[in-house]
Amino acid sequence: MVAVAPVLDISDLTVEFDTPEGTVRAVDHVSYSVDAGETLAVVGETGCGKSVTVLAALGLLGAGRIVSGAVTFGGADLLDMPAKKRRRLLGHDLTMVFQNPMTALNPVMTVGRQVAETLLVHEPKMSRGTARDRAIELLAMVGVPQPDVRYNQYPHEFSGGMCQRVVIAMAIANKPRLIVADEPTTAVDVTIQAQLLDLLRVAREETGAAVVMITHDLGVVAEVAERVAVMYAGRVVEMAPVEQIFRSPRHPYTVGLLSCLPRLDRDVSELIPIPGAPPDLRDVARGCPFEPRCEMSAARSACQNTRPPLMPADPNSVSACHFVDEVESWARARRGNVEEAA
Amino acid sequence: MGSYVIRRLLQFVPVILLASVAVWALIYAVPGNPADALVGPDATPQAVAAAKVRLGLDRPVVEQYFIWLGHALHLDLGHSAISGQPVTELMASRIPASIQLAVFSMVIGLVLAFPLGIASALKPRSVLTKAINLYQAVALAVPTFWVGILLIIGLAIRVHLFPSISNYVPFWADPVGAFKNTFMPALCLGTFISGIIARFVTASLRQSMSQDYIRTARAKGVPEYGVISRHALRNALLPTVTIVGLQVGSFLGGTVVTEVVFSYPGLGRMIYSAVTSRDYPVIQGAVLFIVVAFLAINLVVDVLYAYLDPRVQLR
Ligand SMILES: Nc1ncnc2c1ncn2[C@@H]1O[C@H](COP(=O)(O)OP(=O)(O)OP(=O)(O)O)[C@@H](O)[C@H]1O
Ligand code: SF4
Ligand SMILES: [Mg+2]
Repeated sequence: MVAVAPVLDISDLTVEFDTPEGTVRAVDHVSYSVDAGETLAVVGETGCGKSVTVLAALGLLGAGRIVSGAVTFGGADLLDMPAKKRRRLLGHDLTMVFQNPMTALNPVMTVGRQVAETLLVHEPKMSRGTARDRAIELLAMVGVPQPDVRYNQYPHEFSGGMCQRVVIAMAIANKPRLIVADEPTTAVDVTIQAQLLDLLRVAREETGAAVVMITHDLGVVAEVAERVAVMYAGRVVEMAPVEQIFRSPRHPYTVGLLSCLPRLDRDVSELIPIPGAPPDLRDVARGCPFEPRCEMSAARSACQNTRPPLMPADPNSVSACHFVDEVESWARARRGNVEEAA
Repeated sequence: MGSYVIRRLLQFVPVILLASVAVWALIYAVPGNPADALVGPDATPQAVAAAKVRLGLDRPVVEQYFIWLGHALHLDLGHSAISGQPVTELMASRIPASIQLAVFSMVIGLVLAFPLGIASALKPRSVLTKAINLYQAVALAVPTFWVGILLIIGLAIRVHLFPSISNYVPFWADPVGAFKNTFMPALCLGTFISGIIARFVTASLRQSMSQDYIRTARAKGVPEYGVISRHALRNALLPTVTIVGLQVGSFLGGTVVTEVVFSYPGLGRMIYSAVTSRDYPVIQGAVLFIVVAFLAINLVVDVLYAYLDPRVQLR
């Protein structure tokens, strides 16, 4: 692999929330980076900190506090940057597609004006007429039918899928270098999901943007990503190229995720959770956070007492497991058992 | 929209009829003879007899109602039992005064409430917000008559900035005179409602600032000023419109205490003297007007709401 400077580089990011019940460490020393033109998928169960990581990185976190870490975009420090400078990047070089398209749009502003606003904010000299024409072009580009009519409509007159197309139009309006898509297909109909993914792929090809694709859905991962970061309980537990994740995962949690994947004879592509629940993020236990649910650990003392650091597992991947070398044979044996049982 | 307004106006008819029955029945609830109640305690026997004929008091009760209603529809609500002046004429001179006071008060109220409400929504933990909270509490807790008296003592008697008796000077005839005469009572009412409205603005702005579309706007690189003015405020206005409408409605019904304190010739003071002197025809007229005014304001609020919120369909 040629060494390219990453577009987005998150390193050692830690985010905490103060709640009445105590401090929640939602993101715990997370590091990942995306290279130009690359698609990185971030997967993990709900609540594992996928959204908080990117929101904190982009300075869009409402509550919550960044305890440590650094985030750079194109080499510039995003966290220490003055808000004004960051605003010039946001929506222009660095854009987001959100999880819930129905609430991501302002209900009392026409859809078209919301798209045009994205253009006008970054090019104040643009005339309103030009912005309008460009917005209509963008709506057409993302597959909104009758874009000149739809321009004047409000979000409640759009379906969820259509709203997401509008959000995508805003995200690609200024030819970004990075698109962060936070579960862009979770809230829409299964039939629409494939269309939206296609749209994102086309958008990415046209803009040459790198993509961070946050998702629950390993089907989506297989389809769009080049590299995968697996998160568990606020941390990255494994990161590897996509073929390798599917072929030979190097963390027991990833193995669990993959075995929940539907086989060809089933048609649900949603993750079926691994038995047990993620730990309470309030009490930072000493050992491996996955230990209570880990089938491979067998209550070994290293798992219970020492937190496994994220370490290279092989030339292409990193994994946070004390017994990373055992994962492959364990997974094979486990698969054998499961098939025998079936 | 036009057909919606017409339909709403038609819906008003039963409400107003119901109110009219109640207003009419008021006279029969008064102890003694309705005719006596209507013409007042000092009336001559001839006047009482005339009233009996005019209202058909010898006819069946239902018929009496329709006779009364017929008069009312011709804007004949009888005569004041005290001054003998026609009630509609009396009200016609008071209504513009009350409307002018209501408008002045609302302008002052909104001018105070919006900046305060916005400031405390945006900086919930600042010293400024604490000061604003205190202001709101005081504005709500201090009785308007007391503020009124303080204003009169301070601004009218000590320094002769404003007249101590507020007359009604129509704004279009003499803006300066209107301002001088209306400012103090309007300030009284305006500060009072600014507390209520500011609270609403704060609550609904805070609510809309936490919505997803605000994050979207920020993610687009919209400066904070635009996020607030274009995205948050417009949404926050929605619930505020309703409360402002209700306040305007209550102002139109006259603001008794303030008008009495400032001797302002609005509906409120008219109602006050009518009640103290048992001038039933005037009370009847005032109540009818208040009902109609409330309905009208409600309609205006609904239309405005639909204009501000595209999700609301006027059907
Ligand atoms: N405003 C908040 N206050 C307190 N805790 C929060 C807040 N926002 C997030 N969290 C905590 O942060 C954790 C991570 O949340 P996050 O939204 O990043 O999860 P996620 O991985 O994106 O999940 P999902 O797949 O459901 O979107 C959650 O478990 C939650 O407890
Ligand atoms: S460190 Fe131990 S508990 Fe954690 S994943 Fe590896 S084997 Fe399982
Ligand atoms: Mg999320």
